[in-house]
Amino acid sequence: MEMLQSWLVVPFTYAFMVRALTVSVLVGIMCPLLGTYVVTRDLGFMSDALAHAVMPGVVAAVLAGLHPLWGSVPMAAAVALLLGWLVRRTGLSADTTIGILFAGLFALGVMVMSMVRHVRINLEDLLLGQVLGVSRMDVAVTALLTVAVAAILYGLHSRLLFVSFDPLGAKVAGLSAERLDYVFLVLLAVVIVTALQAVGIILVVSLLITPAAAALLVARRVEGAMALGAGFGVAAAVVGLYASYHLNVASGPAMALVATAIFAVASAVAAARR
Amino acid sequence: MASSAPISVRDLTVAFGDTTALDRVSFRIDAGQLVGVLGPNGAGKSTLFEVLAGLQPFAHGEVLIHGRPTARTEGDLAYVPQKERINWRVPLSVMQVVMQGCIRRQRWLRPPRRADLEAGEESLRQVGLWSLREEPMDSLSLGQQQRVFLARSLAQGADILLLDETFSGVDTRSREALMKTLHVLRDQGCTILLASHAVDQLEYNCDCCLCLNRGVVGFGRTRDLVDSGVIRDLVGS
Repeated sequence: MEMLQSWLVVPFTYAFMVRALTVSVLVGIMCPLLGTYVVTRDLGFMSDALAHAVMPGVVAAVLAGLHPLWGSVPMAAAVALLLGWLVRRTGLSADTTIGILFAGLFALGVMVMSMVRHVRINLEDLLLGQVLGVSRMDVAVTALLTVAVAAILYGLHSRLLFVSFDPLGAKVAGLSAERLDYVFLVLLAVVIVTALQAVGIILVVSLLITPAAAALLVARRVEGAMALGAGFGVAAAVVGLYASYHLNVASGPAMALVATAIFAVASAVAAARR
Repeated sequence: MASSAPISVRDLTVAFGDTTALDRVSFRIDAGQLVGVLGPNGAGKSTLFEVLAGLQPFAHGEVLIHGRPTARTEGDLAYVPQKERINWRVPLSVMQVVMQGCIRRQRWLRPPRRADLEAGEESLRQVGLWSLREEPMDSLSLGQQQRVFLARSLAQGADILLLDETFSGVDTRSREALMKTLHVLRDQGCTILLASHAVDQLEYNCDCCLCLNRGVVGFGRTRDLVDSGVIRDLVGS
């Protein structure tokens, strides 16, 4: 018993672990809340692409001596809006447009990083996340963004659901589907960028999509899926963090693996029900 | 042409690039009519509905809903799209879908008003599905799903209903129940346009038919169109 207590408590005698836990829990809540819409709207690939496309913004912010969020949030919002605009205006498919922007902007970010010598940016941290290195400012910003995203989603929930379920009917009923789509894309950008510090560019979808998809497999209602998804997200974040500490493995991949395990269990439960 | 008719269309032309989807379509529909919109696949039925609903811009002509341009219909028109255009991955209950009809009246960050909840309940009772209000939409039969969409239109307060291929895939018994509901709504003053490519679904149930094949090939009482052979020719085409 004492050993278990020590196993659970000791990691959080360190301040950096408490900060990491706080950010991970906040991200674990925020991602599935929005992720439920992402999964039901089939925007998984787009979310992954958006995470890669913010690279130039992150690099620009670091080069300017600013916190990465100052570059990545506006970058992600701009990319999200550009994506929406291009899909609507060019007639190209969403997948094609996303693929072009995703590859081009990620390449631009990596190229600029390799050209700059006077500022050191750790590519591995960007790609896989480094939640153990978050500062008190990161914690405060993450908390603020989590509250803001949750409040906006609460206010827009019924409208976003209508547009997601029946876009044509929603337009005829008087909703501005395009405006709601743009707001959604900007929210998506903010959530992705916030989650990057925990799981990095490559694994961000593991917190955005996996817990939400698992919850949608077992929940009857979308609100239930959001609550359950947030629970799964927090579980993935916390268990992943413990695994990272005790097994001495990278925290981002540990969280992603726990989320995948939760999804596997939810899939088995859903399959057994049918 | 009186401007107060629920639907008034004059010389409507819609083109997609070089393809003309609707060519100089004109008709007028009076209040409280159940109108079948009949035509083969690609005849322009869905395009016409999208124009009436204000979803599709048009190159030429005039379309008035209660005497107003389609962009300013203010919720008096409701559109039930083909079931393939609904995103069934969103897990909603029957009541949640019905309450979508009240979305324009919903206040920000507040729960639905009592009057709207009552409107939702009354609408759902009217289509005979109140007992299924908590059920997930995807657990309902096709016919029941269509009745839920009708209830949503009623909760919206719409008096013009556009139903696009509503009977497609619906079994005979559900179709009869659905048609009975439509007749009740028609008798209460609703104007209903019902698009289908299957003549047997409309022939004996609609007050009149609009036969469409990019242009209007016939418009009048269903029986007259059957007797004159217009419907037979259209189906043959």
